[in-house]
Amino acid sequence: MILLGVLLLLATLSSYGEESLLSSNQAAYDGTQLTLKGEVLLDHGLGKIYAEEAILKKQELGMEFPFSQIDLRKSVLFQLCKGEELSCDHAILDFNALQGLLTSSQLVTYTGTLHRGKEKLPFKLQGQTIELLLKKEPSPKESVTKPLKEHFNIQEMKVKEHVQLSFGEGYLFSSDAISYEKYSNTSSSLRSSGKALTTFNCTGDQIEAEYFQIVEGVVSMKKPRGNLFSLSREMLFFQAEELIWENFNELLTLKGKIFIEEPFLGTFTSDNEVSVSRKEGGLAAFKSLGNTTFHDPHHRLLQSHGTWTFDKFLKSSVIESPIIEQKVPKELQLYYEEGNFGMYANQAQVDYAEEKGVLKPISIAVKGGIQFFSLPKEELSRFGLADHLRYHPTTQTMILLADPPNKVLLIDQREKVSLSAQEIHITRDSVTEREMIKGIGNVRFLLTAEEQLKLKHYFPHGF
Amino acid sequence: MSLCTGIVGCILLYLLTYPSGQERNTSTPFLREGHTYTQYRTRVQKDLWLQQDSRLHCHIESESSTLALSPLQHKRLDVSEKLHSLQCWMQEKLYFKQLSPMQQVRVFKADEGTYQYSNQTLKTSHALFSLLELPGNQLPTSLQLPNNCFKGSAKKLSFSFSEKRHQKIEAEEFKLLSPTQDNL
Repeated sequence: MILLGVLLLLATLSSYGEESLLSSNQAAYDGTQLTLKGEVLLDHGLGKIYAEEAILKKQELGMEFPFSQIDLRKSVLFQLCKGEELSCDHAILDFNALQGLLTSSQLVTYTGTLHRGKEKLPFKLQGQTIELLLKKEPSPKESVTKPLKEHFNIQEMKVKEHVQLSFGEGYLFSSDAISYEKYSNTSSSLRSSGKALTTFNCTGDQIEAEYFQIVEGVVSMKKPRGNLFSLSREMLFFQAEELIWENFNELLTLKGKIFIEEPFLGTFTSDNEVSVSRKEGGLAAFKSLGNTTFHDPHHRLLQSHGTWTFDKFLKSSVIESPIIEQKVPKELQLYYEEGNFGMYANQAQVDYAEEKGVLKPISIAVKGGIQFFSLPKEELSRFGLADHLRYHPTTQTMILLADPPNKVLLIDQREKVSLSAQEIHITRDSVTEREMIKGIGNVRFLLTAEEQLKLKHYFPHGF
Repeated sequence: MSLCTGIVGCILLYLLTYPSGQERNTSTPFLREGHTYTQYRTRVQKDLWLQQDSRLHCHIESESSTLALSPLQHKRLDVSEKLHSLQCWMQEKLYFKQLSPMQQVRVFKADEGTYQYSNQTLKTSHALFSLLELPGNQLPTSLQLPNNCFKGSAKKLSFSFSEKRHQKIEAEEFKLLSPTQDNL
């Protein structure tokens, strides 16, 4: 008797169980339209759909879900596959046309995940309306005992009016419209149409762009310009033709017509590419390719045509000029000027030491085809050639070296001194500001004709 | 008792052959207001035809039923029939699929239901129903329901046989179940 009771109870539970295709508190059906009211639940091939009211039309027997047109109202919530959710006030879905329109008096909200390999980046997309383009997923063949089971997935979403995209840890993108394309459950993209504004809530970074897209977790923007607080102590303004932000490894790349300005560091321009990596909320490294110019507030100027890298962890910065046919062309050498000193060279390395959280240069090593001279160049008073230059800012000592058989050559017109030596040391007294020039090795105070010719080649105005 | 049953039977015969099913004035002065007159029936069958786009057939059968007459004020009469262990087959639409006649049919099953003659509405409790597509345009009344038809349940289910209301169904605590479940 008890067993019979249990069986009856189980039978009742199974018929009122969770497998229902749809349920509601009230329903009305007139042969063409099913109207549901109160706690409406549809278990659809798209996912579980909740609403307070639903009108289902276009009855199609032979399919697992028998209605192809669904009109949902009030507190509409779609729980889609892989944890995706859509919420709105009103949704109209047509599964024959594979289209949907979602609207809300506030904002229609979609939450999903962007994938990059095994990494998952949750995002939230909001707008006044969302146009859905659906796709049918491959389904097994129709059988006699089982109707055709159809699965649907979102193929594309067009989000319009007051569109906002929250992404990663506090990134907020605003745009006139954003489209979301889903290629598979692990591959998708987000693209803006119309101008985009990006803000990063944590730091206050703000970027305006003509267009942005997020593909495989990588953010890219066209014609970005904005202010970044996350890379410097002060506000950093930048603009470029293109921006690429790889959130997963915190790498920012700027491409084409790059301009960066920071009040304490100076201005930085590049015509090719600059990549900046961030670690623990601050600048970790950067790399600049192409024609790069750096101008600081102390009138120091550095121009590079090759690669300029900086690594905060190694406390080192390296500038390398491009090599063509095993040598650096003269016009592609790096150029540096400070005060009344100017120099061309093939390669430079600056090593830093950290002092109260600030990196200060402790050693500068320059090598290859060094031409040094006094400024202004029109009133050339001192000039020379060397293969290596080492400068120690703390002792204000400059050491010039030559690779044998070369010699360091120096002419000082004001002091009326010519010097040829294996090594020349120039030291400046920090109190008297007086300079001491010291030749080491085989020192000669008269230059050979060949040495004079060599200098004349580089400094025709000096003679 | 048998006389009483005979009188009620005569009245019912008169009422059921009356052209309209609406509440109507009656000139039967011997039916007392506030009383309900009943007739018990077994193996009841009703067949109705509704004119929509096509002529649709509805078939109701029950193991037993109790017909009740309740005289109302102003010489009006309320007529209802309580059906026990009922099943109802209703053609929803007739159509052709690749030149073959087809029909869409609703099937209801309930332990109990009340048919209200005044508004031609059948109200059932804890009903199970199915929606299926069948070949032909003749309504079958005995058929093993296939697994791939739609099945559902409702705590309360009412449907109208009025031509004007287009066979409208209203339900409370409505559930449409997965076609693979065998609940009916």
